[in-house]
Amino acid sequence: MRALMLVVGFLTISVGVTQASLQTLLAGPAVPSDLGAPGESRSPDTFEVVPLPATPPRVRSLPGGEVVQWDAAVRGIEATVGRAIVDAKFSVSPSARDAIVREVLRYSAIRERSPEDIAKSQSEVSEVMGLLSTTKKSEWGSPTEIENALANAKLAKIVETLPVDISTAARDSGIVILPSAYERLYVDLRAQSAGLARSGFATADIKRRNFEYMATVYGAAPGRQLDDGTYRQLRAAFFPQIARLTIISEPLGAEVDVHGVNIGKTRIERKPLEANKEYVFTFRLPNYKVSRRVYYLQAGQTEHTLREVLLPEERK
Amino acid sequence: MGRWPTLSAWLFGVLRHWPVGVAVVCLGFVLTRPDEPIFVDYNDLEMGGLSDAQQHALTMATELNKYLISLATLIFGALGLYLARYMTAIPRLTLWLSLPVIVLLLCLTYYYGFATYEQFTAALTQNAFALLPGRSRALYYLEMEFWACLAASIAMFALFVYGSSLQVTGSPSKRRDD
Repeated sequence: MRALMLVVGFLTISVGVTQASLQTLLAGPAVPSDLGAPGESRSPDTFEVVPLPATPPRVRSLPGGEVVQWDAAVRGIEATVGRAIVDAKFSVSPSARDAIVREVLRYSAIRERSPEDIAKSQSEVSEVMGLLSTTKKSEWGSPTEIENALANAKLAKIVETLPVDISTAARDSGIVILPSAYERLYVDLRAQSAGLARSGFATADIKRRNFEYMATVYGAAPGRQLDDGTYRQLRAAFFPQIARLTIISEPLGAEVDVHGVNIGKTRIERKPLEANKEYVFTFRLPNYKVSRRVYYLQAGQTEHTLREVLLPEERK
Repeated sequence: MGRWPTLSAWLFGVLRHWPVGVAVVCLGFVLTRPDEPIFVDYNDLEMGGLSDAQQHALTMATELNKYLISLATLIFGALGLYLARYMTAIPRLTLWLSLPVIVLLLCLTYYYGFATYEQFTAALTQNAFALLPGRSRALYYLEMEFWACLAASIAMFALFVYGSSLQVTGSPSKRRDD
């Protein structure tokens, strides 16, 4: 019993002393005030940080007529996709057809094409249908099937040439990559390509981004050799953990959820999100179909723009 | 019928070394907490500075973190003191099964404390801030730190009560081995 009293007494006194000392210590300001301007990142002393050229979010006014233009563009794409499906002799359910239309619109939106260009263009439709025909499948039931098939087909094409791309980019930069660094770089680029493929990026766009990534790493490598340690240091120094994402929907005003959490209505400006990660966005707008979009926030860029074109609901 | 003596012996063993059961349940409770949030809802810091409300929230979180780290250190100290004085009174099996679990829980407390600070530092240096419940990784680690510290305290207290109950009936200088 004496032991019990001794230990309880000791604990009580110690907790009291700790609390009192903490209160004294915490009297001063707890947070540094010189945090720098928004968007400014801290860099370690060892490297001069030159971030990738950021894609500035395109600020566009949306007059009432533009909504009509977008709707017309979507109808145009739907018609073109419908014809392409018949030509390819595919059997596609309505929801799977919507998935194809969405993919086409995403390609166009990423390339920042205007509604008039989208309505006229056939190239994105041919690109998507070409990818689907590589799967040797002709019946498509659900949108998930289409999304997975497209992502896998794009990834297969990229992975096929990835070793050559890494070596070519290194040779152009005059860098020798040691095997350990090569392996890690390959894994990172493969993961990035898989994420971008699921996000609605076309094969060429993914390759371009991979080259940007490599150019940043190779350009910053000290000396002529890149080993695993240096690559990891460069990656940590150059690719900030938090990136800014501007979210736009066509038309504007859609409610946006991320993993089921509402984050507001479009247009959402420079939302800070963890980079090198995949997010699931859901767009909801009256008279438009609910759109679910996977988006991979690529490392190496501090500014990203996600544009989702919404499909109007069928008019009865 | 053949399994009955084994089962009863097992039950008797569990009841006899009950502080081990308490420690294991505490560890299980901590390890089965929900995973960290998938989506962290960061807010931009206007002009690179925190608002008054954000400043208060951050101060509260860092205070709690410091307090929990201090408490964990204190429990470590108390554990050492307790072992030095009353170690011999507790059966070896109970002691050597409870002790690693308590130490593990205290180590988890330190780890979560470090992770909380790391999250704050990483976010603030990039002009972002997230302290919404369920949408903040820093707050998640803080919560885990609290649970780990509480679990370590309970396990430690159980061992202490067990040792004290043996003290009443036995001599502290003589080990009560199995």
